[in-house]
Amino acid sequence: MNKIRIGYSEMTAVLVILIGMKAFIGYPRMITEHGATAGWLLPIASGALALGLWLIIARLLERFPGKPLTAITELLLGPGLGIAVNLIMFCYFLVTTGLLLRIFSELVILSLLPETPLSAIAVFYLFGAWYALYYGVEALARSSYIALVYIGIGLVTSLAALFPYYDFRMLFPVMGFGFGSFLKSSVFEISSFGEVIALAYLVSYFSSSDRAKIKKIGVWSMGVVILLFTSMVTVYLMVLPYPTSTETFVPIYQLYRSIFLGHYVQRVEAVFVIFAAFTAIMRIAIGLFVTLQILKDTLKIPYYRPLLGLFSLLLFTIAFTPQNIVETVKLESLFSMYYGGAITFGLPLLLCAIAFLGGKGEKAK
Amino acid sequence: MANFWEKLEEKLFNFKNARYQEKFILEPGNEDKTEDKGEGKAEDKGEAKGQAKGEGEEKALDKAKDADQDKGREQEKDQAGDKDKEQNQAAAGEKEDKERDADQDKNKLKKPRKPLPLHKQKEKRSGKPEDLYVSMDLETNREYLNKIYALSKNKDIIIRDFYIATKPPLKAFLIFIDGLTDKNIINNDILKSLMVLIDEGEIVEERGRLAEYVMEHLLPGHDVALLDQYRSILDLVNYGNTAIFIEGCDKSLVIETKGWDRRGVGIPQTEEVIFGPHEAFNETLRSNTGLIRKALRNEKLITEIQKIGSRTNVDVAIMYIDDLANPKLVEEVKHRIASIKTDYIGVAGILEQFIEDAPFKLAPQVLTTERPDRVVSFLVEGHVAIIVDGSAQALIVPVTMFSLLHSPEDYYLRVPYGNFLRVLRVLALFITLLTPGLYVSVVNFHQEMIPTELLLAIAAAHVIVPFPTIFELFVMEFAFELIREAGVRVPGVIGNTIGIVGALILGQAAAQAGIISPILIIVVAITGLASFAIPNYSISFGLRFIRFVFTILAAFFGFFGISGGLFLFLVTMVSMKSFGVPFLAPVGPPVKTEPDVVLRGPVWSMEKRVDYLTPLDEIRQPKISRGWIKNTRGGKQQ
Amino acid sequence: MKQKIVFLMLLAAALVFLTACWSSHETDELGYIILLGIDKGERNIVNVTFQLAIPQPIEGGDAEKASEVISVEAPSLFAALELADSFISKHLTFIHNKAIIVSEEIAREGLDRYINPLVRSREVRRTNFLMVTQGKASELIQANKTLVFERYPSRQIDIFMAASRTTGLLPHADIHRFYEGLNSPGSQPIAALIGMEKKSPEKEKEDELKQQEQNSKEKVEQGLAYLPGEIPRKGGNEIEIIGLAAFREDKLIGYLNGKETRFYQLLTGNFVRGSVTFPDPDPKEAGSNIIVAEIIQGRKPEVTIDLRQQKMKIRLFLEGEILSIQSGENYEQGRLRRQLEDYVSRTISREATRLIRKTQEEFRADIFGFGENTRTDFLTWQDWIEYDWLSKYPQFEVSVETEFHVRRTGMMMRTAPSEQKEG
Repeated sequence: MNKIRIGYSEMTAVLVILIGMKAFIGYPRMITEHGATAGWLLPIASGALALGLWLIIARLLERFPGKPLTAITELLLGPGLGIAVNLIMFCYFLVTTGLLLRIFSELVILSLLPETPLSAIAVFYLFGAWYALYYGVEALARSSYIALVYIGIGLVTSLAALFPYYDFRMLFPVMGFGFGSFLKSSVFEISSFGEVIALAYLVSYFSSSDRAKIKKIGVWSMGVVILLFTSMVTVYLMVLPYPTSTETFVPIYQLYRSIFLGHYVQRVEAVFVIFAAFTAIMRIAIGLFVTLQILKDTLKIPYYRPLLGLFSLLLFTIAFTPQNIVETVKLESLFSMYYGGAITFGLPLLLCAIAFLGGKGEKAK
Repeated sequence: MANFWEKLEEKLFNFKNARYQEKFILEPGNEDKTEDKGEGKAEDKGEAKGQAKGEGEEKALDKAKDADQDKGREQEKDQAGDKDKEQNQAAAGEKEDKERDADQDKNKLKKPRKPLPLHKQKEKRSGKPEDLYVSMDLETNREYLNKIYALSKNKDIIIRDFYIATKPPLKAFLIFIDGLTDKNIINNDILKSLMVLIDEGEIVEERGRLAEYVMEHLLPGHDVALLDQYRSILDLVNYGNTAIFIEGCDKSLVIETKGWDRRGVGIPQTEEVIFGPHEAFNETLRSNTGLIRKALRNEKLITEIQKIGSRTNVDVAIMYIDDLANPKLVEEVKHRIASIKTDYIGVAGILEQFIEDAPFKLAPQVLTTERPDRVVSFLVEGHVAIIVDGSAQALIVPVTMFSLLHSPEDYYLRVPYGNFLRVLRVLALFITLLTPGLYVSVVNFHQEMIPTELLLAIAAAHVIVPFPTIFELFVMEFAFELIREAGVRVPGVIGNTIGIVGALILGQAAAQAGIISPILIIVVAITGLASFAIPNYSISFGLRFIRFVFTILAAFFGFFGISGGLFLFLVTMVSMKSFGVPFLAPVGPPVKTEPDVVLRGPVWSMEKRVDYLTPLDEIRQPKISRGWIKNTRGGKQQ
Repeated sequence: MKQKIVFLMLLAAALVFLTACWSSHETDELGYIILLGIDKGERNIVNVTFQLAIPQPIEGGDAEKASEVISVEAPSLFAALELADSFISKHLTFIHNKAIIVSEEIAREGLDRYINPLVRSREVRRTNFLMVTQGKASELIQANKTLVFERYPSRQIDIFMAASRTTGLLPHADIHRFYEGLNSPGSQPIAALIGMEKKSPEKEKEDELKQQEQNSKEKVEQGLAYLPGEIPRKGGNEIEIIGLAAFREDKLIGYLNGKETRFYQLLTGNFVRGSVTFPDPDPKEAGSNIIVAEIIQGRKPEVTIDLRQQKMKIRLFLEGEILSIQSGENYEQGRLRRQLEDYVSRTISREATRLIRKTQEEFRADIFGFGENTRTDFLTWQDWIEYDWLSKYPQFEVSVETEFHVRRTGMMMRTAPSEQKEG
């Protein structure tokens, strides 16, 4: 087995970036589409739901101490079906990461480099991801831990700089499209937290003492992400109230552009986009890593590095498959924010059902 | 209590004579075993060398070297064993050689060794100092030395014949290298005491113990060794000691007479401080270790010495605090240094390149300092210091990014002032790294960011410039680096003017001629200034280099390039290690730490040593270190 | 091998120097538009006017030559931009645009069609100020070349607009707020008002006659009630920014003058501070003496809306500092102070109510955004939309209450009576 270990706080940071990066792209828009003025409550409701599901999945992991979900799947479903299920999960991460690559590249074109070819930007992103993964997950995890603080500072500063536009009245009517719609949306929106399942595939990176803390890492990172989503959506709704909030392609960029604090502090969005682009490279790298990790464990390959080049290319291809940006955003929203939960939470929960009802598990024996 | 003092004395003695232990490496610890080994090896070597000579192939030479190395290793082990024994057995004040197996020694000494004929043949055949032993016959010794030193050509090696004024007088000679030795000692202490000051009634009792007798009774030198192998004698003579050969004695007396012209303790050249000691290392190992010991008066401070460089044989001192530094770390440092096979390591900079983890990455993984106080502050943290004889810098390992950005002055000043400096320096770091890149990306890509009036001024200045901004920037940066390099190389008197001429006149003229826009000169000047504010020369170099990478990235991708560059920079930094310690510890990976990373807390709040070194003793000071504070709330709160 | 790599790296470096990188523009290649004017075109759909900032070194420069104004007629805004490129040797860009000035003609027709490119474009930002001018935007921008203090019109506009916080005579109206007002079911958009100094001799005479007829009280009440171009003055810039343009949906329906704009600011809670002149509280003195007080809005107004009874109550919280008491009465202390506070409160409430009535009756548009306060009365978005606040707004009964307290009295505690005797 590998000897690389990722510590508690680093893993939390990795997960926060993996899940929370949505806040920088379509999430606030998506959430106001579904929840209207109640959008700021949706992350809390759906987050709480997702947290509950995670606790169930964590119990499954506790039954098989030290085993990643790939191995558990194979144990419970047999090799054939198990590999198939693992490959579904692999495809999910591959496709979402590919789509994200496209969106991030488009974001850069939109915000910073309007005349640069899309491919050059995508290649630059992939080079960053490749470089980070080449140096190893340890480096990636540590950098995300260090970077998270600065990203947080950047985000808080930018959101605070918007205060002249804050209008708390815009957070009402509190139920948006009504209670039924709210419930339905919060069930679907748990998909936004789906990436937390990546944690179950990274079990082998924990030292034995940290293994018991997997549940805690999931809870912590989801907690941070819920906070991030809520504050993000709240500010977004207050600055760009409901009907217009569904118009923008990249909400956070629209927010950054709106910063105006007198003659000297205006037009500063480029500074904040540095943070966003930085996080985006990190998110691509982490997404690629999780994808490769699942594939590696499914096919039982000892190293993932030889696959790096190939999969960078594959991501590139996926990123360029959708015809235009609107299509990409739609796909990505549906995939990772609306129906993705069926894969990310659905499949593991199915496994939980099999394990708990069948009384399987190493502790049970 | 008495017991304690005895032990203390014993240990002190061991430290003092650490160098001699080195010599004993070359002497067999157990006669039977080593003779077997010696023979075996001699044969091996003979064969190997024969092959080498015969076939003239490199491989054979390598093999021979390997054999040597193996021998060295084994002897080291022996030495370690001996050391343990010594600590149990030896009584204070006894000479090292006596501390070894006393019985065997006596036997050996009573019956002077007569080399086996076979052995002798080999000696003659190889003629190498490694195989030569001191002969009873004075003339043979002289012949050996003649051959080894090629005395007919070598004019600064001096042999002085004399008689020891015992009854009967003993014929003897001494050999030393002129220029390395202190003639006063040789004249007054050695020659005078052996030739003049001997009492009439002095009688040598046992011929077999002649050398011992001379050493114990006649020679007043403070540091005398009895050696019989030429290799070890030569090593010492080459380093300024004087060797005495006596007729009928199969050992040579080697007396410490070092005394060459050297620079005194000077003031630091590159790490100047306003408050704090103004001592700097010089080029003499002993004086450097002395400077450290002077400040760190602790018997647990170990100075191990290894020789490196097959031609230069330079001493390398490895200093650490025995009950503090992590033994694994010390072992790793020793292992890395011992494993180096090269002919020349003259200065610390070369050794650094031999032992660092990632030679091609742009940040140093070893801290180079010329300040003894800096070394001491690291030693008490549990780091290891390496001092190379002949260079005025000490190397400290392991090191983190943050300690490279600290300056000793931060600690000597009060908390607020020290932190002010720290913040200033962090800003300087980012200015050095990013300013040119930010300028290019703002001016070429994100014009909306600049205040309109400034943008119009920049545009107005650029209207007359016939080059793209990036070219302007590179020309100016290049010119700046040139000025910097020229300022170092040019002789002192002109050196200062170069800076003024370069910076002022060149910049002014370029701006007036319309080749460079004036704002760009400000950018380059600020960048240059900031790079001087970084306390470590090495990392400042790295940052100067990386800023070009950022500039190029910015020229292609603007802010996106900068943010990508920052990502690559962070990943690289985080993946680096210095002797097993992550370069960005204690931030990445997060480790518990006292408040001394970017900012620093008050001195009394730093209670534990850094965690990533896992020192043997973690506690630096108790919770309440300021005993005069009666109210516990005034000290560190619980 | 290594030499090859070095060679390739040098080649790459050369490329950096020699080729223009994607998206990269030198600062002097671009022409920075700082004011954009939109008029109805005569020969094409729109007549677009740009005021360009001309690069000038910081140390020297001439305000006369600081900017260049050009007008282009084209089918669209961006077509005008590209047409302009063919006779201006710079690539025009909106990235430093400060304000967009729309002519009354266009505003009356409906701004919806023109606002879309402005909120969609990457270059134009929503923080640009939106202004309406009664005449032609192109003439106005042409007149703006006569700057008095500022080298660049860019800073000029920012400083002008910052006055919304120091005088309250103009609103902080940007595209963002206009667009949100346009889209929200609870409020209607506004824009700032800009105009040129009217220089006809007849107007001057008219003003003079008017002023001679009025007594002090009337003058005070008339004071500040100017639209752009009406301010009696000499010298200064040729442009004036005062007052507010009210919209119903995307169509201009009327103007508020400077005085009304102040009350608009007070009622929306955006008034920061400004000195207000009142006739003397004493009815005997009212015709000749005045009182000046600096009014500070302590906190945002409290709006209570009773949907069932269709009643709206607004409470304003103000504090102030006395700047001038011409009559010399001791309004600083005791009973007189309370009298003064009551008087000021009543005056402000009366004026504010009058303004709201005006928007209800004349404009039939909730430009204050009172409707946003009714959001909390509904549970779901659909309910709120169904209620249709904007159509019901004119029927609401309005009452304004003002709480005014004198906090400071300037450098004087009281006015000592004069002991000099006449004769």
